[in-house]
Amino acid sequence: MEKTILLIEDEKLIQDLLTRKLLAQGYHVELAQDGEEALEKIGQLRPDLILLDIILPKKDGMEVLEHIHRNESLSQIPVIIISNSGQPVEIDRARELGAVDWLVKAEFDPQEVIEKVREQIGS
Amino acid sequence: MLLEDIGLLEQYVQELSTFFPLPLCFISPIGVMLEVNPAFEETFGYKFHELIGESLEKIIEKKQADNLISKTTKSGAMKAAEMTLRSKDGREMIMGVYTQARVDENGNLLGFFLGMFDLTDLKKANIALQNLTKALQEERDQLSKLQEAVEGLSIAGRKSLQEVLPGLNKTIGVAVGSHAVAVWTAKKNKEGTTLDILVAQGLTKTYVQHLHEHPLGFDKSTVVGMAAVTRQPVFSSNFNEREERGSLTKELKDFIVREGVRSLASFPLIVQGDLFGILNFYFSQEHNFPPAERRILQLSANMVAIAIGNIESRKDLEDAQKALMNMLEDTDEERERAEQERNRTQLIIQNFSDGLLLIGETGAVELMNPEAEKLLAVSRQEGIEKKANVVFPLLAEILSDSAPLFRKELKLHPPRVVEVTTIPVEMDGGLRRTLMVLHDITREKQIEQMKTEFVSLAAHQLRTPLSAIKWTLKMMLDKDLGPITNDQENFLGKMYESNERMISLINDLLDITRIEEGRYLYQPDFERIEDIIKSVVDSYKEEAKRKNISLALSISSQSLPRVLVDGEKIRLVFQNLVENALHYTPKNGAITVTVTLDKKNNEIETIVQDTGMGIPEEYQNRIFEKFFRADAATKVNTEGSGLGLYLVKNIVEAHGGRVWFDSKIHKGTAFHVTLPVKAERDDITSNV
Repeated sequence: MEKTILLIEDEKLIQDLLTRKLLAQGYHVELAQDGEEALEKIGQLRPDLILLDIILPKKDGMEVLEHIHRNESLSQIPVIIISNSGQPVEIDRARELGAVDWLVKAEFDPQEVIEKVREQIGS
Repeated sequence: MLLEDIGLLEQYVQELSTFFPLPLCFISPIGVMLEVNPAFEETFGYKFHELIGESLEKIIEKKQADNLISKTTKSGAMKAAEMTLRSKDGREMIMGVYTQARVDENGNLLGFFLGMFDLTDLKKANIALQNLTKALQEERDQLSKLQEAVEGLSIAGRKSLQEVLPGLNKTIGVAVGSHAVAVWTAKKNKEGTTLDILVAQGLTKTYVQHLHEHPLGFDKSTVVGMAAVTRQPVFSSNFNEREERGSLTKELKDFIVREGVRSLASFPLIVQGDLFGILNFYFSQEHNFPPAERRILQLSANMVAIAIGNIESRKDLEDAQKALMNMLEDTDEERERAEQERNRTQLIIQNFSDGLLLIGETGAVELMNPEAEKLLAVSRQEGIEKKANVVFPLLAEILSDSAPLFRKELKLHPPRVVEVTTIPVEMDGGLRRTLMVLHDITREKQIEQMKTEFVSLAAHQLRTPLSAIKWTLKMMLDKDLGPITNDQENFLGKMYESNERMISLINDLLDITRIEEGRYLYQPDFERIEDIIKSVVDSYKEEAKRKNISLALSISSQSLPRVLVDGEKIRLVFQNLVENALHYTPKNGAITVTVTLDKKNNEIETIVQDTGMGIPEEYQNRIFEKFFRADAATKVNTEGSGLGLYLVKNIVEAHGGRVWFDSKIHKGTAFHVTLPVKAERDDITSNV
């Protein structure tokens, strides 16, 4: 069975590149453009992993993360943050809310992101 | 004929006895009075019948009486024995007593005759004479002392008033018991004449100042005035008497009391026929002025007058006046200076831009300036003399700590934030007070907040397009977006590298922005530095393995004290050093990180040693410069921004530490970082 990745990212280019890469690896990819859409889709889809950007329109990534964390069943889903901000205080907070990793887009390339995904849920 | 003779004889004896002016008595062998004559009765005040048949002890003390009897019995007589006898009214009389025993033809004792005469007056006269002799002797001694004093004070040769006066005070003063002398001048001005103090010896500055400020009137209301008006010496034995102090101001009266002037002798100084002024002798005790003394004091006054007359020109007088004025001016000047100083200090304290508080030993607020009032929102009236930790609850915790503070951040009522510095001060005999300085950093904190927010935003804004470029290029190079020619791969590769450099640069720039802000962004805490270093080393283990470089960490076995550091920034330092070591050490090299405690200098030293390419000597002094990269370094590691070591130096020095290196080209480099060990509060021992 294909593993489903929910990609929550508002930047079109990143969406495209990452989707391509994930599909090439054999994952099924679902997209959300903003925080609200994200919360809907999480409830509906129950993905195997969530790639979450912090800076999003409507609801930001931290709120989404909080929502996931508070929900008993949802909190089981591994969440990897992909963002371009990264103050230590934010990273600490994300970890407290259950994020398994925080990747700074400018420091990681798509291939490395894939590897991190693979670490979490296999292929 | 015989019977007639006996009768006549008896009568004779009777008449003789009656006539005899001195007391006569006949006593029995055991001391009973048998006969007494009228003079006896009169002397002792007893009547005949009160004495006859009474024991001698009625008028003589028992012991003396017994003594008299035994002596007379033994010797047959007693001549001129001084005895004390008592009259009826209890009066004691000293008498010269004579006794004569009377025996019959057989030698039996019939009794004694007792005669006496009064020595009392003689005795009194004798004592009076002795006293007189003593008094005369004393006076003679006194006179000779005074004479000596006078002789010691030579007026041979010309002496000025300034020269005479001290000597006068020392010799005459001591001889008569006066503790100070002063000369007043009669000054004529348009209002009349006043008496001004000219010179003084033995009086306190403040007293002289006061006398100078309050010249006396030329009238009889004061002792000095009286002497001046009457041109006669005036002696005041007890200065407290009202008449003599009538016209003096209250202050002067108080002064006089404080000065301890109880008696005063004022002598007019007549120089060349005119009244020059007055000479005063001051006594701290009540003093009666015996005639001999008066003579001596008058002599002294004459001497002073002569000394004044000796003055060749007015200059000497002016000098004397000047000297006095100088003395007084000094007092004035001193006072003015002290006041100016005090005003200046007050001005500084009042207008100081930081809050100042002075807290006494007991914890009460002694001083508070307007800025402190503002920062703590407590007025001076509310604060002064109250216990500091009660009035300023926000400061309570700080105040309970006895260790001095340096710029400790403290949040007051939001949004106010201050830096508190406490300095122990010792003043006035060892009383320990604490000076507290409150420096407002509310604005700085707000700026810090804004900067942090800006930095966060800037990071994101700058990284977004760069990461988009990075990712696209990477995927193109990985051929995820379709095939590319070798030529295209080449150029795309270079674009990728450039972009990476830009990302790195931005990272470093953002770090520097936060570092260069200075203190306000540092959040120091006590950390285990060895844990931070271990975590950094661990994070590079994989990369080291890939290059087959051995990466070892050695921490000195003793337990290291914790250090006060901003953990995040210190981590950057060690990351940078280890990363550099990795970048500039070729495959199969070795990197060793050692952490030791230097007890002597009280610091922890970390050494990152590599077997890398080393730093050429010509570049060694520029290594820590912003953006500096040695040529060889660029070849090996294209990504370096040149900011890393600049950051390292900045951070380490901000922590009070030092960083330096040893390097030999082709051999390797060792970077040393020291961090000071600051005593933690709980670790303060009693030595502190």
